[in-house]
Amino acid sequence: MKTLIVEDDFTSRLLLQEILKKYGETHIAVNGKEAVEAVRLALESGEHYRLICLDIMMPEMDGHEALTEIRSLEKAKGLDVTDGARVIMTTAMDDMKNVGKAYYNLCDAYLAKPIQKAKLLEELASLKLLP
Amino acid sequence: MNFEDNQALFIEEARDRLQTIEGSLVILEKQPADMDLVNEVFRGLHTIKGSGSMFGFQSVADFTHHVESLFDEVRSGHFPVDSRIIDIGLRSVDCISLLLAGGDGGEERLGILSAIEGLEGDGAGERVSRAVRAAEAEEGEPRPRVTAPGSGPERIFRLSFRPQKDLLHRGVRLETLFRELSSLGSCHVTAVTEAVPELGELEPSLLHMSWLITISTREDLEAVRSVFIFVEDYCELAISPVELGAGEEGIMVPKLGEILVDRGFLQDSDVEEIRQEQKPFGAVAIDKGKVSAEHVEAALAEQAMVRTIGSERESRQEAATIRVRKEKLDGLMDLVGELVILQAMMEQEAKKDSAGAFASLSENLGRLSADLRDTSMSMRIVPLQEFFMGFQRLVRDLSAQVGKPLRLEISGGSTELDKNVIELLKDPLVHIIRNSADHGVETPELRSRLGKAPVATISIDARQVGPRVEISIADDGAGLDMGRIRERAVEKGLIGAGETDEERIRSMVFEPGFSTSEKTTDISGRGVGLDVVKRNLERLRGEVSLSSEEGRGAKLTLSIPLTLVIIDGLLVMIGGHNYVIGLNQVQECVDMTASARGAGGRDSMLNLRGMTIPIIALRESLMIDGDYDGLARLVIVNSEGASVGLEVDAVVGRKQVVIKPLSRAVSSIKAVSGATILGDGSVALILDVAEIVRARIGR
Amino acid sequence: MNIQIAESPGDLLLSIDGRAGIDESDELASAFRKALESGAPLVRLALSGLSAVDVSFLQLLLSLELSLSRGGRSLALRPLPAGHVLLQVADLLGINVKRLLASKTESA
Repeated sequence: MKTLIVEDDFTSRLLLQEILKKYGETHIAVNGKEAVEAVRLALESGEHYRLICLDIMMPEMDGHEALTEIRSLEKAKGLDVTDGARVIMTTAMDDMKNVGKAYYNLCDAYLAKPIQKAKLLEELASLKLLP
Repeated sequence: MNFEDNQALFIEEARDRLQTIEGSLVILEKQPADMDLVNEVFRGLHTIKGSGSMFGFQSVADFTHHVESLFDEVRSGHFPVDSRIIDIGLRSVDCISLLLAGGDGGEERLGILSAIEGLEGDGAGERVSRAVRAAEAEEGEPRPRVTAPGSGPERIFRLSFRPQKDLLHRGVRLETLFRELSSLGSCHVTAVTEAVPELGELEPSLLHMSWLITISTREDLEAVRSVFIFVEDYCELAISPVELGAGEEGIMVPKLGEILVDRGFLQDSDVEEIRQEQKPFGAVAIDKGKVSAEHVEAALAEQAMVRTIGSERESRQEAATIRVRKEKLDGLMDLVGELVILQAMMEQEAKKDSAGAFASLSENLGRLSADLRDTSMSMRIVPLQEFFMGFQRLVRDLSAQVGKPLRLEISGGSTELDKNVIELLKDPLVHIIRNSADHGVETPELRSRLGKAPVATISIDARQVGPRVEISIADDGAGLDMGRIRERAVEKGLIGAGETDEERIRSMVFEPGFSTSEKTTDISGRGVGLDVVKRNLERLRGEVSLSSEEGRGAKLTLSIPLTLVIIDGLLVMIGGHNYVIGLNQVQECVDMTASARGAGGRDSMLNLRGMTIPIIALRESLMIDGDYDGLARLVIVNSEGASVGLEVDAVVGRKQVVIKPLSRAVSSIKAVSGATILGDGSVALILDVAEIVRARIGR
Repeated sequence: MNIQIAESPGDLLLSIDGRAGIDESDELASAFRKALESGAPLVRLALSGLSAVDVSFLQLLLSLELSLSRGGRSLALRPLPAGHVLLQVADLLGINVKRLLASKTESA
């Protein structure tokens, strides 16, 4: 499972990488701009990300904006939401405003920080990414 | 933000989303090929599902998940948009509302789920072919498209097309060319005909015309140009994109003069000259011979297209907004109100010290608090579009109930109004629309006999007129049956048999309990109707007016102040206390002449320029003892269309006041609708004029 | 195409049926000129029998209207059913026939 972790905080990044690395290749981006670029390259290479963990609060370009861009890149490649990457938003802010916005921009799941391993695995299972 | 706050916010947001979903579904029913609408419905459901599960609304999330999956299938083309999908969608909206309110959805929930399952059991191949058929039906006739429809953002191009005179000799059919052009998007064509000569000089096979075209399309410039591919060598063709100037408030609509200058029809100096006239720009420009009517027409078309794109972008895009609970906003408004009052008190204090630094500080504070007041007031102001969209569903349901095909047209949805006011408008609007559907609109059989379109149109339109918003609800039905109204009104003794004043007869429909209906229906006709609308509107300090054309339809116009909190008032004095009368009701102030006062009772009549009007002694209405020994003044007000004189001790003057709600103990006093604190710290009660008049004169 | 001219004192009625396109434009122009030369203060046109028109016919109409109005005379178009081919083509080409003729439209 090719995964992109988008996270500006070192500890969170490390944690996610530790959990996810055994399921496949993981790439790292530290802001929204890098994430969009990574997705673009992956789509061009023909092997897009299956999972993207996307932080909301990031410098340069935040998670909401990045998600919008990512979904439109996928759409341009003919990938519908169901075929595109599963996107899990991760953030310390679990307020309605952000959750609603994230789902409206078509994320697939939303995890509040600090990330709990069990919860993440549960989400991955319900997104049918893990058996 | 804590969990409970989030939960409340979720419910609020989910309700808004449901309303949008509902509106989209109703339009989708008529435009089944519009994938944008399907996507909008899907996103809405996805958001409710996702946020619902996040904030502990598991039953909402679980149920919505199934509906979302169905619409995902629709999105990917596995299901056609048909009446079953729409029906399931609408039923789901209702069901989700119930779940949000804490119910379990009961059998309806299971019914919807099994309906969804039933659909999924169908053969997929047949479905897709149905989808294609539905799309074709909407287009009218299947029309081969040369290119795939453009998918870019909507843009506007202006074209100047000047064919060579002998173009028609080359076998070119201009009609075909223009038809192809108009298939690209919405297209406005103006022929410039000023060069067409008189018959004597006309060589009939040569062209003496040129064209100005404005087109709003999702295609790019090349696609537009390619329409002209066969005539390119025989004409002068200029195509230029119209820059959509984006301002803070979205797309800025250019002024007519700007467009004309931009197109090279006018000089800047001409624009100056025309503006001097302070009359409609286009008319002056034509009168002065600066441009032809055709140039103005083309420019107006461009302006309208920019406006359309602007309002579409506005409604399609999620603006950068945050949600704030209404209670918090109301709280802020109260605080700002207090601040304004405090500032007024300080200003009075500062007047005593006119030369000092205090005075100038106070002046600055005054400006600042006025700005703060305006800004915070604007935060509660929202566009009406979402509110209006809610009526799509109502009209759809009514159409089924009354057995008449109806459609609802909405315009002016970008007009903004205070959210509190919007809430109070819902019932009156529902009432009016029901009335139209039930009484206004004829049966389809009768309509076709009358040569009218079988589908009746009810239209809602909103626009801002100065500090007020006008919302009009019109139908193209039979209009008011004036004869019947008159008959009923005479029967009820409301008017004399000889009454001929149409205005007066028309106004009868606002009388309590008035109905011309022979039978009462579920929907309306019980005679509790327009009087309630009128009463509700008065609470908003709004006005209702009615116009009707027999056989053509009726139109009700509601005029409502933009905001409720601050009003222009007339400050009066009674028994040593201050009271406020809403200035919008005041006609004039006159001296109370001794002759006007009746010998016995206090309430009496006044002869005002030949018109006899009743006088109400406010001392009595307010239960203030004693008489005023000076010369009383009369404030002539207009209440429910009639003039009434209110007797007060003295008129102090005009005042902008901040309305504060009354505590429950006081609010039972009917004559008073609120209170305000004046600059000197004293309290003034705001009088409910309509209520006072009703109590004393007993309408 | 078939053109009929009927003269009565004070007005002249031109009825045109069939196609009125570029190929017919010379014939139409001479009929219009005749109408102009007749000196009738009111020229009426009955066009509901037209089956096809193009830009050249609309141009002739405009030209006739201009010539008449410069001589202080007027042109009246008999009412056309909604969706009539003349109205359709005029609409497509952005030629405002309705504005041009509405005020002079006589009732049938």
